[in-house]
Formats: sequence, C-alpha cells, structure tokens
Amino acid sequence: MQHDNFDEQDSLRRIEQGDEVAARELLRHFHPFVLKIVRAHLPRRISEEDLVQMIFIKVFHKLNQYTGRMPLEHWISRIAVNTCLNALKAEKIRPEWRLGDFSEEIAAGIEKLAATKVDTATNADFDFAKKLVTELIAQLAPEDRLVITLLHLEEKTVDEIHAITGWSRSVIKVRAFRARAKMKKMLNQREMLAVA
Amino acid sequence: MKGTEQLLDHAFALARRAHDPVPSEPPFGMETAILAHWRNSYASSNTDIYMVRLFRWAAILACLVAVAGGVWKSRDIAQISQRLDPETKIVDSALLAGLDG
Repeated sequence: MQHDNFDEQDSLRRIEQGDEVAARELLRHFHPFVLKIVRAHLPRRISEEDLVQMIFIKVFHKLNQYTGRMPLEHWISRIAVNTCLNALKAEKIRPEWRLGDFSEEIAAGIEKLAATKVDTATNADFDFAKKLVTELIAQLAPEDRLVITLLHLEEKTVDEIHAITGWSRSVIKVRAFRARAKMKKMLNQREMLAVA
Repeated sequence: MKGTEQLLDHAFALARRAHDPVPSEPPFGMETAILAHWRNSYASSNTDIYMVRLFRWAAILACLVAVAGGVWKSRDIAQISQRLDPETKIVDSALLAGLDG
C-alpha cells in the first residue's frame, strides 16, 4: 500500500468526526488495493473506475458498521469482491463459448507459451499469459470466475477465499475443480483445432 | 489432457508475473465524487442523529407531562371523591330533585 504512515484507528476516529482529510487519506491508502481487486474481477461492460467508485461509496456508507473484528483491509476486500460479483451477475447475457472464439493473436501464441519457461520469460510473455487467462476466465460463471481468480491469480488459500466470500470450503473446492475443467476443455478444443 | 493441465498451470504462473501498473493516487474526478458523496451522507446521517435525539427528548418530555398530569388528576379525583361523602350525596340529590321539581 502506498501510504506507510497511515494510522487506521486514528483515520477511522477522525472520519467518524467528519474529518474530510482523513476520508481522503483512507481513500488514497486503499485505492491501489481496491483497484487490483477490481481489475481481477472486472465485468466487461463496466469501467474499472466506475466500479472502484461504487466500492468506495459503499465502504464509506457502511464504515459506521465496521466493528474492528477483522482487519479493515479484509472488510474492504469483502465489499469490493461482493460488488464485483454482483456486477458480474448483472451481466446476464454471457454468450456460449465456441471453438475458434479465441482471438487470432491468442490462438497463435498458445504454442509459444507452452514452450516458454517461467525463468526466461519476457514481459511480453507474461502479458500474453495474462491475456489468455483473462480470456478463459471471462467465459466462466461469476462465482467460478471469482474462485479461479482468487485461487490461481491472487494465490489465496481456500481458507482466505472462505473468509472473503463466506462460501464453505467444499463449495470453493468444487467450484475451482469445475471451473478448471471448463478452462481445460476450452484449451483442449483449441489444441484439437490446431491438430486439424 | 495432462498436457492441457500443465499448460493451464503454466499460463497461470506466467500471468501472475504480468506487470499491472497501478496509479499511486485515484483520479481527481473520482476522488472528488466519492468525497462529495461521503460529505452528503455524513451530513444527512448527522441530521438524522439530531432528529432522533430531538424525538427522543420530545418523547421523554411527553411521558413526564403525562405522568405529572396523572398525578395532578389523581389528587383532583381524590378531592372530588372526598367531597362525595354520603351527606354531600344526599344534599346533592335533594338539590337536584328541587331543581327538577
């Protein structure tokens, strides 16, 4: 986070008293954190700025309900993730993925990706992998998308995902398994297409 | 399928390393909008708090007036009932009969 001298308790106390400077500090402190969450779970039809704004408005609106039982960061992340999830659910039309739906750029780069080693990969390889994964994840149901992003991109544990989403551990594992299977199926179809 | 599994894990491993620049500060317009929203909700919640306090005191005052009124009335009623002893009742009824007559 950006502002290392940020005093959470002091900031909350001042915000409660109506101190706008404290509200601004809290916003600036958590902005990069919320932006990362939004970028990881961004629906296609809404801009990241709009979603970040929506999340912070909710955070400030509910701040008087924050009891301090969990770290503020976790509390904010829960609001952020739920807001993203609701926005994803609002995207009711999710067209069925079809063979050949990969953009040409991605389809062509997958072979190269398989041969790329993590240690020797360039920024372009990292960006391409991100693009591929984002493309695959975008085809999943909102809940599956959330689980896969948290588990494989943000490297959260099942317990951490349970804390963020409130879902049971077994539900998280089942969702992750099914989502991975779907992603593998999409990749497999691509391989079959390449062979043909 | 195993190759696909590895490819997927490999893609995740590379994707995690992708550079994703995050601005150090929120855009000015967004910051202004969020803080304006917070100011409005803070002011309205404060107004709500004052209104709640006002209504609470008004309710307490109303209760006190009701209790005081009750106390005052009970003494008044006691005085009336003291006046209505048997002799007074007889005089009252005689007076009423005389008036009727």
